[in-house]
Amino acid sequence: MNGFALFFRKEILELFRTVKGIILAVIFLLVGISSPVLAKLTPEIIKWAGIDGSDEEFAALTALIPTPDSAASYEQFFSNFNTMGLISVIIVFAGVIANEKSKGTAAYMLTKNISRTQFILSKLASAAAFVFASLIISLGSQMIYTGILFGDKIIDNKSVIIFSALLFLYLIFILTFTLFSSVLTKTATSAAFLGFLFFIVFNIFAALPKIGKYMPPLINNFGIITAAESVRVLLPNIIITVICCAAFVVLSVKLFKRQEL
Amino acid sequence: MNETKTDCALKLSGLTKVYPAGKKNIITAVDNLNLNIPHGSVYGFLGRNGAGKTTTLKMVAGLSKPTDGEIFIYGRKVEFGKPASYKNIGFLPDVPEFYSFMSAREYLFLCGRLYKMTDIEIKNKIREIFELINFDKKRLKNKISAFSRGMKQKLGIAAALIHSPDLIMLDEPTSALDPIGRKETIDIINSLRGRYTVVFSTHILSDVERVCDKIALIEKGGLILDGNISDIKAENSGLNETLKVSISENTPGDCERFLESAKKLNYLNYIDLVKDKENDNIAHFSFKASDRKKAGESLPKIIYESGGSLVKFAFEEINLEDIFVSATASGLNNNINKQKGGV
Repeated sequence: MNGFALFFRKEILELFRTVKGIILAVIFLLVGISSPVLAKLTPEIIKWAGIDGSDEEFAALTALIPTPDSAASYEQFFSNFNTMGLISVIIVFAGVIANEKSKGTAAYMLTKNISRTQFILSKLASAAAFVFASLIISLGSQMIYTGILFGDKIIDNKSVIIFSALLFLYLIFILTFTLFSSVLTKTATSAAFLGFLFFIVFNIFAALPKIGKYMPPLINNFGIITAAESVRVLLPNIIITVICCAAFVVLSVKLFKRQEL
Repeated sequence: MNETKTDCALKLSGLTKVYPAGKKNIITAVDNLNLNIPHGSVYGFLGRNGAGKTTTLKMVAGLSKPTDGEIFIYGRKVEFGKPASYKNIGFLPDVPEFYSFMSAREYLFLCGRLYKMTDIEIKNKIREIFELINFDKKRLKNKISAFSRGMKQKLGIAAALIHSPDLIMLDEPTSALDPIGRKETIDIINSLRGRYTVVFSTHILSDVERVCDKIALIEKGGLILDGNISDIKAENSGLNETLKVSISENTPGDCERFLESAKKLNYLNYIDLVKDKENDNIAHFSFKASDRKKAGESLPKIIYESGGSLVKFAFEEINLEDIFVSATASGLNNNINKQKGGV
């Protein structure tokens, strides 16, 4: 095995044995399990709030709440994932390089027979693999619970798969700028801060007129699930996201190669 | 490894490292350092804190890029960030940090596999190293997070030796250890003698005297002494050697008269005077003598003339500490310039 494969294995082992891997997996799983349940129970909870039935206005209001379906379940998942899921990825992987630099483990290992490119790429690949596995578990539980709780066929599996693929690409994008932040800074805290800054800046760009519609955050799109949005429309965003990912990886490697440890 | 055996294990040629300090200032951490470390030696790399020892070792280990100059390991030029150019070294930083979620066995296998060793080769090498460094094999399965500092130091040495490099570099291996840990580490370095070329940096001179064949002393990034310990001691034996003279007063004022006369001698520098704790009549003088022969001839005569009786007259054998203090003193900075021309 070469340095890349050995360090890929080491990184996966670290994610399984340390709390950061567990945190990420548990958050993803919670999002997957809780979203259908929340979608199902939210209208009920609102109805229970006016259980005595004395308030006619309230009764009229609850009558307007639509009966929850699997689309609502996925909407809840989308909403939860966009907060807890994405933030946890930045937090968990912010220290991926910065921690090794501050502790001195990177300096020690890099005197051995592993190149800096292998070191960086193994970190990214292992993080991507772990995020992919966590996403599969999250979406799998989401699909199972949605099927159990709602049983309708509003959402077809093909849409969910396309949505998942785009969500995964967006997560890779987040991983690459988090990796770059980690290379650029000396501590996990400053890397996380910079990672959030990138996240906010890209989302602000996405809200801008003209250029906003091509920005990477828009590939994380709930409209794909409900077929309101076509993948073809998102093609420029996908291409720009891939280019941004490649740019962040190249910059990370180049910068890390120049750093003195 | 044993790929390119030459007589010179490590050659530093005009090695310089400059760091920016603010907008206009620079700090020269290593200043035109020239050094040849012969194959098979146990080499002490000495210097005060901040003298440039760690910076030099980091450049050799490929972690820091030289501003100028070249590094050769067994004839192969070291290139910053290119592991193939420095794979013939085993490096141990001053405070080695490991992946604490791993066991010692997993860590050593990771290190061995990085050098494309087979599992059988790694197992055999671990057995051999553990015998050499007296490491308890039962500890192999333990998590590194449970290791003491001394154990981590041993694990670091094992990791440095795993791929059988020709050159072992240990950065301040004893500075953070307790006396027992220090002794164990020095014993390990001793046991490496003959199998590897060992370079270790330190400012603990007693460690150097116990284990090194040769030393290099650097100050402000420049080389000021280099060679065999015995040769360096011989070269410095006449320079500022400590002379201890004890005199018994026969009449009051004998010691004052002696000191007055002794201070006039240009090859003697008075250091101090201590009265004997048990006998007030006896005084112990210390001098730095630049000419042993003249001091030996003249002082007994002066003592006789002062009226006192000679109780003790002895030159203290010069040790590395004296040489270190003397050489790092600002008055000997001209040595730096003398040596910069090449070693």
